Amino acid sequence: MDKLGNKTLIGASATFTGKVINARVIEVNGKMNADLTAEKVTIGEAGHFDGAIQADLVVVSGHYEGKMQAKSIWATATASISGKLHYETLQMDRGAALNCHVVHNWKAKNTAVAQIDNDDADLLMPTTLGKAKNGAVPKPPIEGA
Amino acid sequence: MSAKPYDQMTSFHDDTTYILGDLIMEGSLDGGDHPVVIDGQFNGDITAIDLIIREQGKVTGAVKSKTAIINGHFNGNLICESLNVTNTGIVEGEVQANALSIDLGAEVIGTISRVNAKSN
Repeated sequence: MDKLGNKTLIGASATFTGKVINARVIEVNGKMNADLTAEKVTIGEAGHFDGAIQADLVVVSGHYEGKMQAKSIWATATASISGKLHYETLQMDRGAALNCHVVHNWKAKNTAVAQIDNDDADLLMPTTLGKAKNGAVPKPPIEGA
Repeated sequence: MSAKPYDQMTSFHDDTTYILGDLIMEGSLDGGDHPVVIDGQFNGDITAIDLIIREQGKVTGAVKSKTAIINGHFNGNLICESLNVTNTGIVEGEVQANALSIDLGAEVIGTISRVNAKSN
C-alpha cells in the first residue's frame, strides 16, 4: 500500500494516452503514452512509458521508450530503456538494459572555457576572448546535433 | 481491498490509478481491473470498473464504468451500472445508470435515464 501523499499513480492495469499538466511526483505501473514534465517520475517494474520525460529524478524499473532529460536517472536491474537519455548523473544497476543514445549534460561553467576566462585571460588574444569577456556562458551542445 | 469506501480511504494499492490534486490530465484513460480515483482534473474519456471523483476532483468528458461515486464535479456523458452522487457532488450532462442514488445537497443537472441494452 502506498500512502496517499502527493503522488499520482497510474495503476498496473491502467492505460493512459494523452497530455499531463502540472505533474510533480508520478508513478507509472501501467501503460502511459504521454509527454511529461515533473519533479520525480517512477516507472514501476510492470510499467511501460512511451514519450518524452523532463524531470529532476527518474527511476526506471520498467520499460521506457522516448527522449528523457533528467538531472538524475536511476535504471534499476529490471529496467529496459530505448531512445535517448540526457542526464547529469546516471546510475545503472547490474541487469539494466539500455539500448539508447546517452548524453551527459555537463554544466558549461565547469568546462575549460570558463577556466581560460579566469586564469589565462591575459595570454589570449582579445579577439578570441571577446565573447567570454562579455560573460556569455557557452551553451551545451544542441540536442540532436 | 479494505472494506472502507474508496472516498474515505487514505491509502491505495499500487494497482489503483490515482490522479492527484493539482494535476491536469487530458486524453483517454482505461483503468483496467482496478479503481480510478480522480482528485485532480481530467478532460477526456475514462473507462473503469470503479470511478471515484473526490471532492477536489473534476472530470469533463465521457465516462463508462461499473460503479461511480461522485464527490466532486462531473460534466459530460456518464454511463454506469450504479451511481452515487454524494452531498458535495455536482453532475452536469447526460447520465445513464441502472442504480442511482443522489444524496441531499448534491447538484444534478441534465438528463437521467436507464442504461439501454445497446450502450452497455
